[in-house]
Amino acid sequence: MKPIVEIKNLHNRFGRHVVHDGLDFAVYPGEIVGLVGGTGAGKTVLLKSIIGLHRPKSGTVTINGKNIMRMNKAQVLATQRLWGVLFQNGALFSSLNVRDNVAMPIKEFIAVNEEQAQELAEMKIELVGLPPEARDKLPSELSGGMVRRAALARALALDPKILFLDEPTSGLDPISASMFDDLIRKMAKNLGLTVMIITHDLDTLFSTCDRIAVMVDKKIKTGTLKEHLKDKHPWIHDYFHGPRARAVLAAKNVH
Amino acid sequence: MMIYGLVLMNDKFIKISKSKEGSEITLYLLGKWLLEDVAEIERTLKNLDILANTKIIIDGKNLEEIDTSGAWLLIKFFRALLQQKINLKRTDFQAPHAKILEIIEHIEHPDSIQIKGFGAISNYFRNVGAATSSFIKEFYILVAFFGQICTTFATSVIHPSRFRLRSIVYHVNEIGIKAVPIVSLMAFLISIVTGYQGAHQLQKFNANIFTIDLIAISVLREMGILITAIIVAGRSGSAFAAQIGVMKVNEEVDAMRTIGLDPFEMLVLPRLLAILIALPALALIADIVGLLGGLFVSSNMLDLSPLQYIERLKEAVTVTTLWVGLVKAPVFAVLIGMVGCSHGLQVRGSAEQVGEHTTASVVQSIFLVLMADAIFSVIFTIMGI
Repeated sequence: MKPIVEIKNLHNRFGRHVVHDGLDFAVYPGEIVGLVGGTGAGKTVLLKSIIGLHRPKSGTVTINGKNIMRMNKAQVLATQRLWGVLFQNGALFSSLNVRDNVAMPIKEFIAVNEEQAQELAEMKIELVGLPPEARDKLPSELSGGMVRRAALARALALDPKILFLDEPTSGLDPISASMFDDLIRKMAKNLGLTVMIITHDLDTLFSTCDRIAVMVDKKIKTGTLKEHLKDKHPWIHDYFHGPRARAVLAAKNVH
Repeated sequence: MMIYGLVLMNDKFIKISKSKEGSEITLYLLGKWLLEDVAEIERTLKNLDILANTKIIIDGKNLEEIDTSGAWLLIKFFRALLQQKINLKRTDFQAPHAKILEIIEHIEHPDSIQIKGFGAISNYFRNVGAATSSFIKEFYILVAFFGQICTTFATSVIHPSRFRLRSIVYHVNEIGIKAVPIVSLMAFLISIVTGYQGAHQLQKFNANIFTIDLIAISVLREMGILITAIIVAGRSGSAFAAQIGVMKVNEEVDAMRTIGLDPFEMLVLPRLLAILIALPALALIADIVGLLGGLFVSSNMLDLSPLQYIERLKEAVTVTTLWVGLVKAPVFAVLIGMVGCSHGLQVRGSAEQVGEHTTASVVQSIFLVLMADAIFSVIFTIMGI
């Protein structure tokens, strides 16, 4: 199977601080990949390099077989339709209500009238499990879990093939977090999405992700949970054998 | 399009075929049912005219691709058919398509909650009422705020160690010293403008010399202090609102309270005392630079020597003229400082409110400054100054 996102020999550095040093990474269609790494290891920089918000020093980023670094503006715009991004803390437009937040990309890119755009937006809002009352609310009036759901609805507005999630469950209570995990799984399975999740939430990682990419030594090691558990690299070992990881794994084995 | 008619539809998205007896119709879905074509697909579906009591089979095996938007149109179509009591059967959908349909099928999409509107006239009265009540509320907030400042000030006077000297000095620098160039420039320009306009008019009466009176009196009594107050309101009053507002959004103000620090003592009082020191000083500077501007005008336009200018100045103004202007400075300072700080503390929740309150603080403080100036004018006239 050909990868839908492929990164080869990526180099990134800020001043003297090297973030990525010859990083290779691939995501295959239909899978859910979790990306973990220490704070400041360059996970968000990697995400920004993929979605074109940051231009890497060198290397290639290929999406759906096309090198996005060789594209002009119009081509990048067309490729952007392929993915939806859920930013940390939602990044909803604070002056627009939830419906307008979701309808905005539809109105911008699709030839539909106002009514149809609103209707599609409302459908997306219901799809992510938000109650009808939430449509007319401003982001500041929503709870943390609802903000993430609304942001997911906006990320899904243009029916993307790939979904990038940057710490989707951070700061949520365990109930909302696991409900959000379920939602992501359900969306990915039913809509056939490819999902890349940056997360620190071990529950998300172990319950939702098919494969786990670990960012160590400015590169990425990808594998299943089982493979990572056997890995001798000190950081990976500590990550997957730390007390928190053990607790989550133990809980999974009990059930 | 009538399905029962002779014409059978053959479209990009749907192909229709009829069984021999004519009681069973099969709709073959074709092509890509994707978001970019929703408008066209919806039109196609609307044009289908299906009679009741027919049996319809929806065949999905030729469907190439469908996304949630296309699936939503299809599900809506199904529901409309069911409502007309049309017998519906789905066959041969590919597994990924069936999954998308399954997830969309759960969406009920109840209509938006309609907020009951008001008529145009009652809406007008409603707006007037809301504006009035918010105006009264703002006034009430300012009075309460002033009271709180006074009590905080009183406690600080009893315990002088509570005055945050370092903070006051910092704000005097920010409000006062850093504003000296802009205030001087504005005062200079204003007195040149007044001078040129005045000289032009007074020339007609051969009363050129009175241009100096015009400049000196208007700058000392009104222009110097007003220009200063407006600049300080725009520069520092807005900064107060923004700084304190951001601290509110970040919950820094709440954190302060839990440590046992009074935000009034920490944030409001130093700023207020600093503006009380800085604004009169700036006004004095504006007066001096304004008179220098007068000198510039008189030597360039009226051909008077500096000595003659000073001579005329002595006759035109007294120390009272200066005081009449400067006495307003502390009042304006308190108004600007209070409005800025109170708007900062009124910020609740989002960052957007910081912007709103910053704007409101500038508008409100300039309005209050001009209103106070008008009151001063009336009082001075009654007093005969």
